[in-house]
Amino acid sequence: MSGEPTRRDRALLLATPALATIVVLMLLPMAIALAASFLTSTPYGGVTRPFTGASYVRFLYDRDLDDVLVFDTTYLRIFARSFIQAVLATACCLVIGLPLAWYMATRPPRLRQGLVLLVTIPFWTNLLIRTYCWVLLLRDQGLVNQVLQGSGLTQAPITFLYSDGAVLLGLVYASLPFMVLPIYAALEKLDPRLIEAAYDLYAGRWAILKTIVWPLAKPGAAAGTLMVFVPALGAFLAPDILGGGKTLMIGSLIQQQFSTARDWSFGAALSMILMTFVLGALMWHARQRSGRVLP
Amino acid sequence: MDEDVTQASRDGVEGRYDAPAHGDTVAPTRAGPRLMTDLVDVQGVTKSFGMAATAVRALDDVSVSIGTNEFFTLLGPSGCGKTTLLRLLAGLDHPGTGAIRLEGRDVASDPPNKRPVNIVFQSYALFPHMSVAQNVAFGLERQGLRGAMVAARVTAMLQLVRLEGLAARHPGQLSGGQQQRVALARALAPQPKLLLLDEPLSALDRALRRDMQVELKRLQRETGITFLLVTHDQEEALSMSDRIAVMDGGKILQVGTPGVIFERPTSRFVAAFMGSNVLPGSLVGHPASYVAMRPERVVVATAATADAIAGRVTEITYLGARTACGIALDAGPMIKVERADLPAGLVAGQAVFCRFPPEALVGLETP
Repeated sequence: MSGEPTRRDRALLLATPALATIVVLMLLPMAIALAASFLTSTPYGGVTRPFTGASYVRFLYDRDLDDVLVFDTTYLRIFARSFIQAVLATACCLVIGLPLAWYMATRPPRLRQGLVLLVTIPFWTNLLIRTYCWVLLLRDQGLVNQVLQGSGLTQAPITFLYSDGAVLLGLVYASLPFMVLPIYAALEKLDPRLIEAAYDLYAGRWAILKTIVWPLAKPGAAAGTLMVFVPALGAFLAPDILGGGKTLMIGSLIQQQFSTARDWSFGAALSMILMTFVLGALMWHARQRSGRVLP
Repeated sequence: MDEDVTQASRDGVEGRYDAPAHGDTVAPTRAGPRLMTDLVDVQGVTKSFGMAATAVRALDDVSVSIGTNEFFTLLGPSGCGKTTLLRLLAGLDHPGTGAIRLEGRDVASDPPNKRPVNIVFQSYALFPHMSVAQNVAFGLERQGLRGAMVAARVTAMLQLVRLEGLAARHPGQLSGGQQQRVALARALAPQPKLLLLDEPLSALDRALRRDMQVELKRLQRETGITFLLVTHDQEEALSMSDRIAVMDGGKILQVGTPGVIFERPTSRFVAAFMGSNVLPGSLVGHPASYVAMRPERVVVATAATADAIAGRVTEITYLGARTACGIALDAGPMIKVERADLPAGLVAGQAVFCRFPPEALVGLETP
């Protein structure tokens, strides 16, 4: 037996930084959150024993005056509302992102680089600040209302802010680059000769879009959908700032548990439920794709 | 200096060579009045790219007719306009001026999906997300065919290109040669009037290219479809074509059978492009200021004869069936000789004597 490290040892050693990152930054926080969700909250934040499933029970049931558990849909409705908002935001991003990515991918190479830069420019400023900017634009005395009134289109200011529409706008605005970039990446690789070949083989514009462009853009659209849907589901900046916290979303609800409500255990339980839901959606998505032969 | 050479050759020719004797050394030709009806008729087509001030004229007043069931080749160096002409015929680009008629009907403004013309792209452009069968079926389905009709035609096409077993594969799982065959099957399936082939063999290795040349000829024969091939490869053009159009600088310089193009070039460009020696000089009864001479026809001897021109071997390259030899004539010009029967033991630097058989000299009309 020599002291020489085997190939396997060396491979393990080289994998250590990656493994450490996964364990410390991903698995450990999740394990803590999972543990916290089964513990009891203390009044000033933090959690303590005993272990209990009370936080999960609270998600579905409320206690009435006689301390009897009654089925309660308050939190389920918040989940449903968040889900619908996230689906709408994803759909809007797809509808705007597909033509935008197509436009970008069909420009000359040098212009393309400039356009990609433009799409990424919002990342240079903090999302919080950018979301507040929407408040300045949308409020009753904001730019949008000033323009509408100045041009004589409306007499009185329209209240845009603190509505589901404003939240949706904020979500779409924040997520759009995550939809555009993966679709652009897929379309940029599309050989223009394929479109010419389809055109030559008697396909009209719609047929080309349906049979060539869309199937080849689909992997990008799928990646974009995930990257928009998952963060939109848990978003709390747009609902808080543009929705005024009037209609609760899961993200805001969870954030409240850790800040004002000081119920860490319930916050952790909500996070776990949300994560289970997202994981379920991902696995369903993966199963949908696995049956197909990819190019 | 240069005049001396041609003077010498002319002296040797005089009295025996009085007119360009087209046809005697050339295979039976379809140049002249053709019996076939014209399928494609291109008249005065000009095409420029770019803004007016910096426009590049890719095609300059091009006119050509292609007959039904003909294997026609556009031959020329890259940038000569041959691919532009092909794209105009496909409808992927539109001519600036001029007419493109297909069976007598002007199709210049028809989009590609309205023309009975299909392309085999240089890069094949197979749809990567579809199987071989789906690729071949694409044009048929877009024409509105369905079900058993499509299936039968796809099977027949895959048989034609000898890919029966690969219908379920995807293009990424095929070799270059197989992809080429799929591209052919896909373009032939809708039974176009005209099949355009854009440098289809350039991505294949040499042995495969030979096989595919034979294969393409067979396909053209069996389908009876007119083939228009675009290539920069002289050998490819000669071995496959019924007729060849040689292009340069956006113009068609000469149209003729492979034999005519090879043995009777009319211009310096065509002669040089087909590998002839081009020498300044004139022929009796011919307004030529340059003459062409095939390297295979130059007779080289180590001893002087009456009508021979002295020169010196500059290099010798053994090619197997033939030996190539560069000779610097004492009068100035360099010539190439390629023969199987060069004098034994030739070495670089050796003095030799070249004779140009008069019947092999071709007068070139254009400067």
